[in-house]
Amino acid sequence: MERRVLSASELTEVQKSIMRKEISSAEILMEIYDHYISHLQEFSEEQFSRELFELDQKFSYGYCHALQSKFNKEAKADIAKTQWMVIQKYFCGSRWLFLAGILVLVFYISTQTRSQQELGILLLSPLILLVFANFAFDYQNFKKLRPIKKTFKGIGIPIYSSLARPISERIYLPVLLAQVLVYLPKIIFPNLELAPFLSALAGMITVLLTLYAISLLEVWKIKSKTALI
Amino acid sequence: MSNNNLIKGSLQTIILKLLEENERMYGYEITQKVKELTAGEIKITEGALYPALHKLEAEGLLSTEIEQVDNRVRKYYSLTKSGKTETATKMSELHAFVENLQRILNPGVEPKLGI
Repeated sequence: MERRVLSASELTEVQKSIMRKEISSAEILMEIYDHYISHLQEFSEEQFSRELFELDQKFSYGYCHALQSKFNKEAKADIAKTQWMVIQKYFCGSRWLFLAGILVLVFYISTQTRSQQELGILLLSPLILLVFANFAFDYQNFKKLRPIKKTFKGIGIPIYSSLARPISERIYLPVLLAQVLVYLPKIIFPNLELAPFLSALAGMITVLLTLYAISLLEVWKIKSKTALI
Repeated sequence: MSNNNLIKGSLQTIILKLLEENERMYGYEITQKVKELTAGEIKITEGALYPALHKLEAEGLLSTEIEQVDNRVRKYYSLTKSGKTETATKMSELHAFVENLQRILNPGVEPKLGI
């Protein structure tokens, strides 16, 4: 049978039907919506209600939520795996030269610092990079999610990208870690004198944070080609 | 036809093989292709298809592409490099399994399959 174009009222009915499942993951929403429309386009107007009912039975509330939960877990694992792969690649081939360059540069800067404030700025530099990346990331994510949010306007629950969440969490992670690294030694060892190796320590932490930030940006670049981020 | 249990075990192979032949496909298209190829004898349920697709994607065997189609967003799946290798492995495994099954079911007959 020739595919037909669904009427506006039919599309609204499909959207309402999917909204009742209360799915928040944009990836799952778009996939189910596309499945519904592709299927219903093959049936006449008279068969529409029956077919929509049958689809609703197949894509039950429980099934959709199980699918979403599993997909979220897989997305989180995927981001972690991809970032680890990216970091490993820095140590392979000619890339290690690039890494060594960053290392030397950061250590050189750390030895040139004259005060704790300067060391603080050095430590903050990769975090500042992450903050700016976060703005760009949120904006791109907003742009990519817009058509889906528009389709499911009035869903009543926030729609998010399953792949965006783990990346956002990873952007915030070093900011929290930096707080821990700054305050924890002072709490545990109040009399610890860090001054002799402070610049080396700051240099090492900056290298790690830079490596982390750059690898995360690369993960975003890789995933943005194929996902809603 | 009540062959759901038989299909369950080979669903991943079916998906991989279809993607090997069709370059890129979306979820609904896969269900329809299987229905068309088997004249409706085998129907892949949505309940099994999407978890299988997501699993293959998570394992790095499938890559995805997102495209705007008629005012909606469609997710296309295609094989990755390791997905192509895995398809070949799974196909030879399935081939060997069917041959052995033939030997069990028809002991006197030499299996000649062209999968």
